[in-house]
Amino acid sequence: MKQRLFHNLDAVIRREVHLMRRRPVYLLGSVGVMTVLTVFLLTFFGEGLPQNLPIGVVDMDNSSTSRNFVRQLDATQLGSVVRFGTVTEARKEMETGRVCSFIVIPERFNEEILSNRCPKMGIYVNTMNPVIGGSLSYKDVLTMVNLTAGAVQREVLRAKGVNEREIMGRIQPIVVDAHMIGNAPTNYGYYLNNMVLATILAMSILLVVSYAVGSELKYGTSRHLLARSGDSIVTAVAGKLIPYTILFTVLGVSVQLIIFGFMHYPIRGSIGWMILAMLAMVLSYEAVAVFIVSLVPTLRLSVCISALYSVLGFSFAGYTLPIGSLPAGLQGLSMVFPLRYYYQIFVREVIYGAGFATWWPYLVAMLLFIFLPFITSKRLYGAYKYQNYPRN
Amino acid sequence: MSNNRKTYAGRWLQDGFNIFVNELKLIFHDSGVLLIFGFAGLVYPLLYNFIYRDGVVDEMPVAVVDLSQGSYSRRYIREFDATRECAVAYDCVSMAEAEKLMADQKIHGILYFPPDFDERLARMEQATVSTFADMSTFLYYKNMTMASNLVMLDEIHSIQAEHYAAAGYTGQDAAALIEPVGYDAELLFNRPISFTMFFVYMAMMLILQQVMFYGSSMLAGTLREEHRSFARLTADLSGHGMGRVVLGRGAAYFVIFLCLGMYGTLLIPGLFHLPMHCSWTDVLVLLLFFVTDIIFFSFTWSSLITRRETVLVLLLAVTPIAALLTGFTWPTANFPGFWKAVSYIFPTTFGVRAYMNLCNAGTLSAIAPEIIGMTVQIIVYYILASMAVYIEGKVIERKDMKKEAAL
Repeated sequence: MKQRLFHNLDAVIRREVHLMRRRPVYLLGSVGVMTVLTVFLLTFFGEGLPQNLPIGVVDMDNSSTSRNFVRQLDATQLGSVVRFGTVTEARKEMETGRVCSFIVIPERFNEEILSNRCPKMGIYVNTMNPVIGGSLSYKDVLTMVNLTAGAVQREVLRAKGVNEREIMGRIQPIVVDAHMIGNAPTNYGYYLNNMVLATILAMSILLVVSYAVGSELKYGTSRHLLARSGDSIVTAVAGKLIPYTILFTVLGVSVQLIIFGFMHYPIRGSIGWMILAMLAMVLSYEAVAVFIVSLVPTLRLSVCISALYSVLGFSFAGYTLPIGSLPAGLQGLSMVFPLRYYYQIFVREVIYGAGFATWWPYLVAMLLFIFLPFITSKRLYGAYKYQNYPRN
Repeated sequence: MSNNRKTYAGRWLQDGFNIFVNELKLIFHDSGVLLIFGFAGLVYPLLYNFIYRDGVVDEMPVAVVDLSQGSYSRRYIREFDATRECAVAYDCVSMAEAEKLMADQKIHGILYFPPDFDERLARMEQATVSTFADMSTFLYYKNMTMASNLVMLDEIHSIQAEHYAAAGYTGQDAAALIEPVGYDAELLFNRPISFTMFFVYMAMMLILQQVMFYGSSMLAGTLREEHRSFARLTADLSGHGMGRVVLGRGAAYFVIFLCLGMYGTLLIPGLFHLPMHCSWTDVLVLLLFFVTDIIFFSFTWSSLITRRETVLVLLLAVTPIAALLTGFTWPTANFPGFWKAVSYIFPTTFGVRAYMNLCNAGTLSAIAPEIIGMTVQIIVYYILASMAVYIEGKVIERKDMKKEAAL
């Protein structure tokens, strides 16, 4: 009995591997997609943090102080100055996202500083388009304005005979020493690439597996499959999934190794635990894909539903916008995305290295998804056996 | 034989109209395409506006480790708690305790005052406050940075005022010392720096392009599977005339996507009060260009699709690439050269920027460069789509001739 089971399983696996080799869609949809996206993301955010953002300057004073300010701003790593003659001109360029922000230095700026009349600079920021450019350039400009204020204060205090050590305590009595846990250089790639690639992998699993399971119906080969598996739907699906489980786990782990090994992305915990989490995620997404096909045993519809569901993973994993900030009615929806649990493990293990004890419930939650296909196994068996659903 | 008596233009129009009707029939008889058009085209705009309605984290929980326990640190904590961005949720006795809370994700930031914080300030020396930000999402980091910087600047001014008052400077004299150079900051379009508002603009345009592409590719794949072709539609048409085929089919999608477009870029954002400083007619002008562009774009690329379901399996992952290449988060100026070139393939590269700029600046002249970009794309993709039809027609002709020869 046991021997027959293994024999059947082996037959199904061989059949699946043969199919994978014959139709390029399986390997292109998994290895191809992951390769392109990995190369894209790792090169696209190569800088990590944008540099030389265009910042507009309208200098109506043209004094040594204002020129010095502009030079200093230009010399910062973040900013690169673009000069404009009038405010209208600068505003137009900013509205269309060509400069991220602009500052206006008023007439008689230098004169008013010297006469203690506190001139004001105008700072205009486009915080919409693109948001990273806007908020970063804002930060850069603010730093420079505060430094300028500090420099003026220092001159005054020096003239009044205050000694250098006390001057710093007066100009800037409080210093903020900021620590960014898990991403010290505020690298955009560190923040996004791990999770975006996991999301893409989930997408690829859903699509390829639902295509593999559903195409048996479309091409009418499901009875052949059942004959091979000894008329057992569990053996048939398990045999079909084993090659994909290996394929996707290898892909997922390769991405992790490239990111944490080759690219030296920071990881505080153990990569072994992350590999375990990856395996759980692969299994849970395969289960979801089989579940979708069982519910809607028509290839075109199940692939469409898988696609629509997988795109929502970007929003409901919680790494773009925290789940707590979603409208209350939608927060619960994040529970049906295994990626949500993978992300929870990721935060605890990669960023904080908090260990297995802190995140095992999320691992269990992911593994619970594996039971989904068993609920609907009869329905899939019926569809495979009688082929009584429309093929297209 | 009434067709023969018609003029060329008359026949052209009749053929085009037949192709138009035929394409609409194909679309509305395909459950998969309807699911994509209906769900992705109608439900996604609603869903994304709903999900990303706020896009800011308010009152983010933060832990405080105050080893100084003086009046300065207490005032700092009070002010920090009063910011919109952060709320003091835990008062910890040690960093270890706070770190544990952070790893458990109960808090997303730590404020640490060293034992000498108050002492140093009382001695008029520089004191340091340390902040620790949770980097699991950038929103937490942004909140922590904004709150701590705002409070720091405010505290600096209060402390300086006290110091100068003690030294005998008050009123205008002190003010001139504390803030010799001031500034007025105008954060236009997005005052609270919401990290999602810009996403919604991008999503609305991207949805249109991707829905069009996947839908029409699925149809092209179906026709191929059934040994028909998008290049030759029904038996009653002569099968010639690239213009008729491309424009006739295009008109069918144009009607559908102009409706979906107005729904996604005008109706839904209007319902959710997304900032829009332009009139609806300006958006309509943009849509005319954008919809035409995505149609020819989809016709060109869908001609490479041979099976209906494979397009989603192979090319769904193009969506995040196209999204990032619009430059909606990462500034275009910082794109690596290669990816900048790739970005010109997608209509959304121009479309998203144009839509955003139009909503911000409110005039059509502000989006002239993007309109020109889309026009160039329309011309190129129209030519490519026509060539695809022409080549496909020739291939089929040759196959038919072979069949006839075999008979």
